[in-house]
Amino acid sequence: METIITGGIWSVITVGALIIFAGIGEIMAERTGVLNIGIEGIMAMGGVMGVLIVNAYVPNAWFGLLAAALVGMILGIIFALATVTFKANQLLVGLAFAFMGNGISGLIGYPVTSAPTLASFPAIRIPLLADIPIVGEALFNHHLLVYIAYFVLPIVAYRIIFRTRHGIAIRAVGDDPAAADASGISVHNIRFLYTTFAGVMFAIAGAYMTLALTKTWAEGIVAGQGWIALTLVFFSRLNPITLVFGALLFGGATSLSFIGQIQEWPINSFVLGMAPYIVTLLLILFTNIKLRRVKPDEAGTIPAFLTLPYYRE
Amino acid sequence: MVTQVEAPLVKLENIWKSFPGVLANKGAHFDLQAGEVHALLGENGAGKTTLMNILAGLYRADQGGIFVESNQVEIRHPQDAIAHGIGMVHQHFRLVNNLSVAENIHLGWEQTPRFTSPEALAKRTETLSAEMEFDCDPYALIEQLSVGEQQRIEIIKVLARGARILILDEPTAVLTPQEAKELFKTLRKMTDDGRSIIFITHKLKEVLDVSDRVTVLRNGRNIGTLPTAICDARAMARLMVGQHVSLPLERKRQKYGETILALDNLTAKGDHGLASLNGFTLNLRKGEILGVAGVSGNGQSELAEVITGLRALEEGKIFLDDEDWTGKPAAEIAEAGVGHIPEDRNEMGLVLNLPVLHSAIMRGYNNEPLRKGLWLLKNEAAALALRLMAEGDVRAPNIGVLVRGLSGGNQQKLVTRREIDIAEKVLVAMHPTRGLDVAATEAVRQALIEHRDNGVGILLISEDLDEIFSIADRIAVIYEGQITGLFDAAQASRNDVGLLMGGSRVGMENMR
Amino acid sequence: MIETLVNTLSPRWKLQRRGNYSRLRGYVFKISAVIISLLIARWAIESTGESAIELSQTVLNMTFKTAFGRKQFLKLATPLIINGAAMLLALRMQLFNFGLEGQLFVGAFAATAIGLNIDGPPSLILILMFLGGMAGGMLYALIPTLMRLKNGVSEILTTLLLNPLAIQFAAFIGMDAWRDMSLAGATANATAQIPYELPAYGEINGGFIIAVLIVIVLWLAFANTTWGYEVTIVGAKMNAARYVGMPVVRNMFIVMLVSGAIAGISGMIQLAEVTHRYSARLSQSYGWMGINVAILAGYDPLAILPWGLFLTLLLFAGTILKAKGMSLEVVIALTGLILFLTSLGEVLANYRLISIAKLEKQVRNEEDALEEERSFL
Repeated sequence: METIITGGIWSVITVGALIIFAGIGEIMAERTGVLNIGIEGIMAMGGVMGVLIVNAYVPNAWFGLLAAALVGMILGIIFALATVTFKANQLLVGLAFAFMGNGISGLIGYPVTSAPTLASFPAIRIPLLADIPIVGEALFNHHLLVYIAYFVLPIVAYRIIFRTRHGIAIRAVGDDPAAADASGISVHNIRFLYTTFAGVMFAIAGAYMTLALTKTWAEGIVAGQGWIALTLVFFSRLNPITLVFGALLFGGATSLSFIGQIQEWPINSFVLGMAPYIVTLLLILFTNIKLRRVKPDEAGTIPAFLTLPYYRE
Repeated sequence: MVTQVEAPLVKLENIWKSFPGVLANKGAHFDLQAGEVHALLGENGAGKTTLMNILAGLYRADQGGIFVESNQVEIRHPQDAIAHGIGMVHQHFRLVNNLSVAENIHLGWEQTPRFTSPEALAKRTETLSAEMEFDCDPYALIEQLSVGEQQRIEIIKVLARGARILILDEPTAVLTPQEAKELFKTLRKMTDDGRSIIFITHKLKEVLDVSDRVTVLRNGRNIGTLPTAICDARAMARLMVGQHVSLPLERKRQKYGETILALDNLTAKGDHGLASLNGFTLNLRKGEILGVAGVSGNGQSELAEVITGLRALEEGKIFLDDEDWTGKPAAEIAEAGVGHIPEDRNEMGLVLNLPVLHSAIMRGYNNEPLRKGLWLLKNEAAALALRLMAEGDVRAPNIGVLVRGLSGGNQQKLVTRREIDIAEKVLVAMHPTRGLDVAATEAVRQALIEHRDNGVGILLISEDLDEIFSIADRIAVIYEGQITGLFDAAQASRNDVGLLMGGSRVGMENMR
Repeated sequence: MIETLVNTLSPRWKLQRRGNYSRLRGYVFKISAVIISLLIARWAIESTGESAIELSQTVLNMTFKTAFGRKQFLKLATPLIINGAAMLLALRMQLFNFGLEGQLFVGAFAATAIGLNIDGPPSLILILMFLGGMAGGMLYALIPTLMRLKNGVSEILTTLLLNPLAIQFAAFIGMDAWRDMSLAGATANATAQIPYELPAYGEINGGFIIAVLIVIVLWLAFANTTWGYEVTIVGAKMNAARYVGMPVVRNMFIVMLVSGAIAGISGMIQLAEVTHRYSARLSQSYGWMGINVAILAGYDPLAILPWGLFLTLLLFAGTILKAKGMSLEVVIALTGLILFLTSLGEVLANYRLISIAKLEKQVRNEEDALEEERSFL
């Protein structure tokens, strides 16, 4: 019984890390007013890249990660050029990236489809903490990337957004680009920077998935995780700390369904499979009811200028 | 004091600037002497804001040069302007609503420490505002402040960044007369400290009260720069408007009809949840233009919205033609003959991205002859659009061009004509001539007068006293959601009205 | 910034934003986007050693020269066109119904329930299934609509969550609750066969006719009805719609629900025409392809037909390529590329290059015109 719980918590955390990588990237981008719905596509590209490098060239997972990050940066730059510089419609370009990313990654992933990855990340076990009964192993015996996802990224992101001069600029760009521009901030450059950053993070998330989680590549392996990350970003109201909770919640619900299957609980496994989505929806519903009375045409609590390009005369 | 012999501190030479469909500056030039208060005068659309935006780095001129202390400089960006000590306080503040006062002041300022905390920023803000002798709550969100307070924050922002040259764009547009006086005192103090000030205005009195020199712009060109001491209102007006001076429109001696619209003790909340109409009572008569004067923010928007069915009343009743119309929906009210020229035609009155046709039939689409059952009859729709355009003298190549391709004047003429067309009983007009050039302004005012002569009651809500005094038959003043004064136009004095707008209770003797 | 770029590179030219919009220009850019994408695809194919010309010949032959090909082509075009219509309707109101996939599945489920459990004359059952499909899709679209109208939750968020939920449910039905145990292998994990089939007319399947009808009705509604006009205004400028008293909330409601209903119809058609069994394999991302079609069609309902057929051809080519050992992914990537270039083209259609000399001339002309206007005062 204990190992089940431990295993369950462990998998929640590892799966959650995936959401956090992608989600932090998207949070930063959305804070500046750019909505990228093509997370899936870039994740797929990162994922396939990681496996390709590892299986075909250098059997070192870190190299794979690096290659994926590079690809993510290039894709991020292309997205930024299209939406920030050329001011094309963000939703369209995002959708295009989702399609293109899936298609191209499937194409170049042929040679390594379903082959096991030759290298992965070593688990780092933190001595004293991991010895805590039940939860110790679950919480403190992970890859370095996982520790980064939970202990570094959200805190750094939060501090940047809310505790730096730069963070004020970021928020201003997302909430009122005209005001930011008039204050001497380059709206274009900040959006470009964080859109590119988001691309890097999506690719890293993808590589993490194929190199650490599933340890293989197949077409469609991203399986909607990108969309999940997107919804959790909305749900977190662009707060990195809340995102972690959302990731854990969703991962928890997913994990529960696996545990249920293994334990042969009387609840149907499919029903359990639907649980994460239902739980997230219910949570969204309840947290929104507590908010002030919203006019029907307000699209929720995202920065005022999300998806609107900024024109300067 | 100002010495005429020195080289100017700032000089703009031969500035040309165009936007799609509009030529804003045509070879304009301007210069500023150190330590002076220089007024930039002109009516709406003369190019004053555009010219100053170029100096402040928000726009880039198509052609022309900027000189600071006799050196030509490139100002491509607000930061370049600040580097030269030039800072601008705009008419529409560049403050971020969701950020706090402290965060706004520290936005984009390299002296802000890299790592901040709300407390640290608050402390710095308090220090700064103490220097300027303002006080403010650094933690308050901008959207919680009054307009006057927001303006002060804008000024602090600009001064904190070391601006020696301050540009103010229509600063008194959102202030009460008393606040405006305070502002002018502050400006004088700043010039005593060695700063130079440019302020953009269209109000002759301000120019005379406060400036050392005045430059008049008309039609994108500099018509003349004069020391204020030798100017008088009439001369400046003539320069501003050219030889086309608006003749005071004839006001026939009106025989008032009965009350067509009775507003009884209206109480309503504004968008921020605070009461904006507070026991508002007013009667509008058939065949009169009743001007409602007031500084924006005293309940005017809410008043128009409540009458036209766009906002709910908490208390009070509205009677149209003696029938209780409280709480009726907007479509029915329009149907009953109430037209509404909105305060922002781009926000509500028109759809910029669709053809003129779509905006022209917005009121008429749901009735005969345009509508038959489910169907919208194309020919009838086109006929309506063409008729409105012809009657309203709206210049456009055809009804298929997008509304955004029309000039501001033509857009406003379209809205005006469309609303007049349905306003059989009442017309609510909110600053209908704001932002229009002389020709369009005259056209709109003429249309309003004609419509009044047809027996319709017109409620003219405006903060522009020129507009009100030129065509209103009666003048009311709105302050903090109530009527604080009501006069026959012939007996109203601008002074009294101005004072009431600012909240004082003087001048009630002539009330009706 | 692009203006800076252009201005630094060529001081004699300047990028100016256009003041007007020409539909023709929009078309030109879209077609160019397609052509460029096809050229890139051709380059990608040729670099693997195949001849693109031969390949296209094969595809066209197999699609149009055989009766089977033509029938399959139209059957594939059906869900793309219907979902395209569903999305276009929602987009006209600035409602982002990304949940078409889910609504499709739920609509099909309702039709399945009817088809498997109710007996009667085929035409009656088919009509009931049709209505069931509509109802299923509509009800599933109700959830995000209510959350948006009552709580301000963005429908992007909710519809994206509801999709995998519906697919998971479909898997549940097909693999578990209503599973037909006699099936094995590739066709396993689906329900029993539904004994009703939509009639076909020669080579044209009934579903395609329904699809075309839906598009025509949509077009008529937008072009000629007051409701269509209201939807256009609400979508273009909600404040203007409210200002004249149009029922904004009610229209948002109706549009979202009808959009879901239409997606549900496409689910029912897939069921009754193509798979005849309900399972998670019912839709091959038809909802997403429909979204693609709607975006390419822009604001014009009639354009759904040509764009729908075009994308069908691409997807069809993909399946043929797959059979020949090449990959389907090229085609998916291609659709993405077309979308990408289209969005760029949209932007370029709004800027134009103008020489400084011409600009000066323009300035002088405008100046003269303004002088004329003033002299009439």
